[in-house]
Amino acid sequence: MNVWQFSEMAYHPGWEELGDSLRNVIPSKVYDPKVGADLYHRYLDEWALCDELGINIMVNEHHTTATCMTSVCTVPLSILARETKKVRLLCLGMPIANRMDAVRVAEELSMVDVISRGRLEMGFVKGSPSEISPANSNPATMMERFWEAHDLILKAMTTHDGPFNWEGQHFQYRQVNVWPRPYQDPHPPVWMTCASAGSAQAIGARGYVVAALNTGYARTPTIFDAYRAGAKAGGHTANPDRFAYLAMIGVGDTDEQGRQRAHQILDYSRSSPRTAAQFWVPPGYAANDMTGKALKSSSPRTIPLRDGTPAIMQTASVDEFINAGIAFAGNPDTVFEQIREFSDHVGGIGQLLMMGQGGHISHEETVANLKLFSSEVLPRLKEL
Amino acid sequence: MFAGAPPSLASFDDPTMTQYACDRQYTAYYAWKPYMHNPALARWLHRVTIPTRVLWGASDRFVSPHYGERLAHLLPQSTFEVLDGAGHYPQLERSDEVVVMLQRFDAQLANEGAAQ
Repeated sequence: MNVWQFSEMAYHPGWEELGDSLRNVIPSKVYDPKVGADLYHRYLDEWALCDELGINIMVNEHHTTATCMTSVCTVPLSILARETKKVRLLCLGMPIANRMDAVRVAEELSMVDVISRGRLEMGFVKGSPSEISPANSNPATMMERFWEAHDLILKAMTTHDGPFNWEGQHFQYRQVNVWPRPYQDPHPPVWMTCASAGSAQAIGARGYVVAALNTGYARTPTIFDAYRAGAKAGGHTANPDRFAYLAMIGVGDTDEQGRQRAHQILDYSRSSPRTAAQFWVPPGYAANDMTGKALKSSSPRTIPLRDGTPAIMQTASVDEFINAGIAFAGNPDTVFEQIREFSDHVGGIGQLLMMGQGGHISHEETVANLKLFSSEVLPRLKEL
Repeated sequence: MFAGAPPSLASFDDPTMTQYACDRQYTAYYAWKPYMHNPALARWLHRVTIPTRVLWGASDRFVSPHYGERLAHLLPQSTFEVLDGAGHYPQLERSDEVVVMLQRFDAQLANEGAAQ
């Protein structure tokens, strides 16, 4: 099992100053650039440490939000491409339906791949509903743009005999001729996130890595089963390395210490629902039956526990997050067993996306968390 | 679907809500860009000579009342009115009040016409 350390580089000092929305409408006057600079350097240092610890690195991006200062994922990736030497660098991901210049995306990712000497993993994501507003993109045509951008980016990365013309529905270019070409041949490995069976099947049909983020015990098996069906139909073998899962992870010398670290990291999950209602359900973003249900619901966002009962995400306890399969926390033995049990439940995962930094956890606690995970849990995961 | 009191979406059945979601989807599909209207029209609005009433939801969280004021300013024969307690869809959220406001505007036009 490969492990990837993920952080959203949160600007958590801004969280306390606002009410129901940490996204979209949050004014930048609550952001102190001097504090932000310190945080950027801190988070980059923590990722750089991963190069010594043998933990791969995962970077994402969000926009107009205090929950994530990574507004351009290729910026930290570029820094880390130079600063690290061994571990692989995962972009999960690049919101290609919200990037209006797909060729520019191909250029940025190719450049990172070359600088890192072929250590880039290329995740393409749809992006959350609240990303529609800052991107000003049409949610009703999002998946059309997603797949056209995907096709164009891969063609741009793999065409090496001069310019080609692209006349698509959403992208038009007279001359596409990307320099540099990627370091990896034919292109960096492709990952995609998904939260529904339909999307998982489409990803499986292409043989890409599918990443389920915080989907827990209740939802992950359905997603992975759909992927397997899609992979089979597409003639691909769905080995464990095709399955990735993201969880919050807190490891300590004792169960109590590990759970305390997870408790702090889980403020990331608890803050996620703090989005103003008008950005929850963009028109056409999801299937109409799902959108209709979401528009009707005034309930707070919940996570399903193993017995099917819901827990309110904004106030859920560490125990509830562990029960749901969204957090793994405790001493190294406990955490290893939780990961093994979850992997068995979903049919095997080969890529563990570890949120070992998030919420209010300090730099010192983050470093201790990563070091202990690397020395006491990571070696055992090779068995899985 | 909406009439009278502000709608409680929770009171509608799933097929109705699915149809409502479908309507929103196709509105976005056809009219998302450029911004549900033609921005180039701004320089032509001074030619509109008919009386116009611009109504806006005071609590519109997508397009602020200030935008409505600017629109009204570009229409020479316009007046601007804000409806408290309404957001982006005053005609749905406060349909009774919107009807009253339109009727009042209509009556005003009739009186002005009679006076002339």
